[in-house]
Order: sequence, then C-alpha cells, then structure tokens
Amino acid sequence: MLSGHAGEILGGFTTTLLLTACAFPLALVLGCVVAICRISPVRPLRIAGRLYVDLVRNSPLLLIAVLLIFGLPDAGVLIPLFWCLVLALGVYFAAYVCETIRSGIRAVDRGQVEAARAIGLPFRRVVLDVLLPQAFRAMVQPLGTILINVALGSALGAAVGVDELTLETRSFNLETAEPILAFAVAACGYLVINLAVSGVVRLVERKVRVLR
Amino acid sequence: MPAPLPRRTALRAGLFAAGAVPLLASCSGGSTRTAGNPAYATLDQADAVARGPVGVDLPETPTLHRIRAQGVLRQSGSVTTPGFGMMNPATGKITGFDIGIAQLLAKYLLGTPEVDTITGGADTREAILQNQSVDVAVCTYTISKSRARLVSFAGPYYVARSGIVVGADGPQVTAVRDLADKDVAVQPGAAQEALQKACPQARAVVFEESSQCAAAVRQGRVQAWSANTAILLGKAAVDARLRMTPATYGSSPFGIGLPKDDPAFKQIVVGFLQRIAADGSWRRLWEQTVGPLVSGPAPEPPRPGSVPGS
Repeated sequence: MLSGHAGEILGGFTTTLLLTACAFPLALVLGCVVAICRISPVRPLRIAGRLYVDLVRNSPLLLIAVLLIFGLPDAGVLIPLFWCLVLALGVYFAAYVCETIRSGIRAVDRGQVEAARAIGLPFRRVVLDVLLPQAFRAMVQPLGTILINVALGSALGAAVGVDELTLETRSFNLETAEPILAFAVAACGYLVINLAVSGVVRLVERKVRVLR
Repeated sequence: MPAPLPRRTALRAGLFAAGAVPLLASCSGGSTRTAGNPAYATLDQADAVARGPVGVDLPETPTLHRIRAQGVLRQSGSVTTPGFGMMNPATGKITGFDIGIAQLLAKYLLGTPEVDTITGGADTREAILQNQSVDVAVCTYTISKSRARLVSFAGPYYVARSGIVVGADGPQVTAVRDLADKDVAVQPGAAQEALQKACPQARAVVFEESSQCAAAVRQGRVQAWSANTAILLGKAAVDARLRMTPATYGSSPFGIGLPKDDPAFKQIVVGFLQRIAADGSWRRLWEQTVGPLVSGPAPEPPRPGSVPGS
C-alpha cells in the first residue's frame, strides 16, 4: 500500500527538507540583525529589536503563517505558498535565534573583552576575533534545537496548502484510510531529519567546545 | 535586567492587540464570526431534534450499553463546516445537518439529545472509532470501500454533490474537466477526495478552513474552490467577489461511521435512519440546516445500504 504512494510521500519529504533549508538561514540572518539591534548602543534600535522579539515570540506560528499568507495579498504582494511559509518560519524563528545569540554573547566572560581592549585591539577585532567565536561555541546546541523546531514547524504547511510531508501523508490517509500507518511514516520522516541534525550538532560541538 | 513594571507590560499587550486585530480581520474578510454568511448564524436544528423519535425495545449491544452507561453520545464531528457542523460563537452551539443527525441519534438511543462532539478532522476518524474514543462519526464522512475495511458505515444519510466557485472575474468553468491544470482550493476530506477522483489533473491546494479557501480565490492564489454545494452556495450568495459556476460533479455519500466490531449496533443505526426518513424528521432537519443555504425543495432521503461499503 505504501509503495503505491512512495513518490508523493518522498516528494513531501523533499519539500519539508527544502522548507527547512530555506527557512533556517533566513531565520539566522534575520535573527542576527535583530540581535545586533538589541545589543546596539542606539536606543530606538534596541526598542525595535525588543518589540520584534516580544511580538513574534509570543504569537503562535500558525497565526504568523496565516497573517503572511492571507495578509500579504491584501497588501498587493502575491508570492507562492511555499515562499510564504518560508517567510513565516524565518520571521518566527528569527526571534528565537536573536535570543540565542544574545545569551551566547552573555556567556562570554566579561574579562575576555576587557583583556582584548587592554592589549589595544580595535572594536571590530574585539567583536570578530574575541567575542563572536566564543559566543558561537555556546550557541551550537540551542541553534541546533531551533533548526529541529524549524523542521517540525514546517508541518504547518499541511494546514495552508504546502505539499510537505504531513500534507502528503494526510492525503495518503484520506485515500487508504490508514491513519496509524500514515502518521507513523510522517513521524519517521521527521525523526530521520532530526536525528541527522542532532548528530551534526554533536559533531560540531565536539570540534568547537571551549574547555573551561 | 529589572523586572518589567506592570504599566509597561500593559502597554506592550495593548500594542500587540492593536497590531494584531485589524490584520486578522483583514485576512478573513472581516466576518470570522459567521465565516462569511449571516445565514449561518440563524441555522438551528433544535426544533427538528425536539420532534425526533425515541427508539423503543432496542436490542442490547456492547456499544449501546456503553453509550447508555455514559449517558451521552460521543461523536467525531466538525465545527467549521457551514450547514453541516458549525460552531455559532454567539451562542456556543453547534448547528448543522451532521450535528442534527448526531443529536437525533442520541435522542433515539438515550431519550435525550446529549451529544459530546470531538473535533479531530478527516485524519483521525478511523483511529478514534477503532480505539473507542468516540461511539460514532458524523462528519461529512464519505462512505468508501477502503474505509469500510476499518469501520462500519450506516447510511448514506445524505448524498452531497461537489460544486465549483471561481472569482468574479475568474475563468469560465462549465464542467469539472475545465479544472485540469488549475490550482483548486479544497478542504481535506470529502472535498479533496471528490476532486482527486473527478479530475486528477487539477492541482489540489489544501486549506484547513472554508474561509481560507474563499480568501485564496478572492486573492487570486487559486483559480477555483471546490466543496459541496451547500458550503459554496452559502458563501457565494453573500460575497460578490465569488461566482458560483453551474458545474456540479461526483457524489459523496455521507455515512455514520461506527465501530467495526458491533454489527447489531449498526442495525440499530440503520433502523434509526429509516425511521427518521419515514416520519419526516429527516426532511425537517434538512429544511432547518442545509435547506436555507441551497435552492430547491428538500431531496428524498437516500436509502441506507444503497452504496458500496454501507
């Protein structure tokens, strides 16, 4: 029974991978920008960054997806559903990326920055050579968790017309009336993605770990 | 960082509400409460249910015994399908043909129309019937052979036809084959199945809610929306940006889903359907729920057992 629908389900799996692969970098970039705003010395930027995190992080992802999918066309922008969902996932998880980056930076001992200043490094070098490399090491695990959440969050596509893994298994279930089998297949798909992600995260973390 | 002052929290909440509310209103066409048609709010099957029959001398079966011990009929239903099962936010009551059938059945079995509606959508109906989380499923549930392997069907109690709605300046559609190579919004379940069967070349775009399907047509994201004619007429009648096409297709025989392991209970439910068809309850229920949304007089109730799988 599965073999007759393997094509569709694999297609859905690929779409889930693509959604994740497009949305996570977007979340990273956007999250970095918001994080820079939040730690910048310019007060309006700090307020804007904080407002962004408070608004986005406290709304359900579905709400943000529906707002973008049905709100943008009313504003005259009609982009394909796939990219609407990528945008929604990116915008939503950017708030989490921002907070992760902030806590990563907080994790760096103040003395490190003071020492770097003391030996006469300019501000750019303090940030790029001392602060960020150490901050990044503290962020590997939480960023991996966000990546997993992006993959899981993409399942919302099933409610808003994106042919990803969950929607394809739902259609499979509609045709064959095998809900347990259908959703077990979907669960395995997500498990495969997320075990791979956590494996990579563990590897990276072992490489970059800071011994304290 | 110091704890935020209450005043600032309130300010933030206010900003959020002020930003979210108009956005939400704009994306649903501004009338989420009745999902686009004031007629939905006036549908009420209470009178038909009140005049429904009570079964006498019913044989004792495990399922009936369980329902009577609970004192309430647990059913899998929908609260977002206008005309069939729709929550009226003003009253908190679910109105529609399907919920009416469930209430009539509860009254037939228990003497009172006590129904507990569990909403799980098209995905979970077989599973929750099999594991006895619900006693029956009355939710625009199309009888099919593949489902009849897993659950029993009493019915059909209604045979729906699918219709097609396009935008006011959308493409000419005179038959279902005109949907080939077009993006067509559907809801998961009966509508999606009917479209895939009648026109496999159409690209189904699945949205959870009928209001989302309507918005997708209005905004030009899809070229058409297909659903059963009761839902479509109810929407198209009040929205000038939507146009009902003359094309109808397929036939979705809706059945009452039952656990597979109790054939005697299925006979009770079939007897119930025959009874409400004969004593006019079926017609009364139709006139108070689907009737106001579609044109023409009430149809003849279908004969139980008349489709494969029932």
